[in-house]
Amino acid sequence: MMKYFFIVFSLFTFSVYSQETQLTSQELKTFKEKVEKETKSLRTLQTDFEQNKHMAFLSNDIQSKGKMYLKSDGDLKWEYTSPNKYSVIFQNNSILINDNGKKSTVSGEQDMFKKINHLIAGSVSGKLFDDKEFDINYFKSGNDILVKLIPNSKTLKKYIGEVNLYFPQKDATVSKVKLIEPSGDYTLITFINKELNVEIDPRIFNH
Amino acid sequence: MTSDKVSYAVPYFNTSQKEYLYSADINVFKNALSGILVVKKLENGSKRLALLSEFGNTLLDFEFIKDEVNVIYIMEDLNKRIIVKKLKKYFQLLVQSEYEIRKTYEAEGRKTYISKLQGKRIFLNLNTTEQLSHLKQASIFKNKVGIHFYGDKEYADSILFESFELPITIDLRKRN
Repeated sequence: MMKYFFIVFSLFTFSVYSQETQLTSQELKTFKEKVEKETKSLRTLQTDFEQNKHMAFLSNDIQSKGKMYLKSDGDLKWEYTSPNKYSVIFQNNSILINDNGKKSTVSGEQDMFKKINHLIAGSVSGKLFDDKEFDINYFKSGNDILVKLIPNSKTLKKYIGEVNLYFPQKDATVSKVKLIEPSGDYTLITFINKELNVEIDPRIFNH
Repeated sequence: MTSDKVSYAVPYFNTSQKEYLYSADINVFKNALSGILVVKKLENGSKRLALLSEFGNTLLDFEFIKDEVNVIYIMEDLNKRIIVKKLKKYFQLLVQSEYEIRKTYEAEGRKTYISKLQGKRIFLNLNTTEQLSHLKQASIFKNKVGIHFYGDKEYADSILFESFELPITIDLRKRN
């Protein structure tokens, strides 16, 4: 009994604390239309990013920084610049890795990375909302629209408990992605200096 | 041969509450994997070690309490009995805080302490400034594992872990 009381109590305090309110059907319609419109005209996206990995046993988050490039055909590059140089290109069915000059190619395998990157690319472009792999709920949280995705596929559930996408209300592309692991530890990726539909030098995607 | 000391405290990963961060290059059976390794000694003396991918997702998270290693989390792809057993042993060797000294050898100003862990002999080779530079685990017949520590006295700049029984190396570089 106490256990249930505790669960109900913590759910209650959580929702008060974060002040999240579910979008009304009208707000949801407007939001989805805005994102869909933006996504349709999206050819490229390039942005700086900051990645913070939070683990309960650590006092400090583990930080990385870099640049991300996305093309509407699905090509995606994560270029970490700090503290280490490390880049990964997702292209067709291959993963091209450059680890500080040491190059390698992975094809077919590494299901987890593909899934996670499909997820991030989908989040950035907004295509994820039609994904059948998730239960999706929409909230207002401060000045953001918060989209919570809970995987319903067994494969994805192993790696991710929940994905939170934050859209600033004036913006139709995502500004923060939070990947919450089943343990509660999470990775928060914040996009800064987003540029939409600028020409990306094709050499960026050379391995 | 002398035995003036009873135990030896490893200087690495041994400052309470300090968070040790390394970039890790792991080679397992010719497969290369790059990630982040984090180790922390908690207030109660236990240790946590987690290995993350560059994207931040947790690949494994182990807890070390005295001689016991507990799996807090391991990615399903790695969750095979034999792999978990080896990973537990290897990471325990990497973060073990203290060794009971059974014998001490000294040659050319360098000490070697001999101890035991996981039922096998451990050789702790100190350099001329009495800093642990190399750890080796060996059975009667052959070497099992070697770990080289380079640089800083408490927070090693780089660490090279090598298994002699399986084609596995772990190359760690301090992540600034």
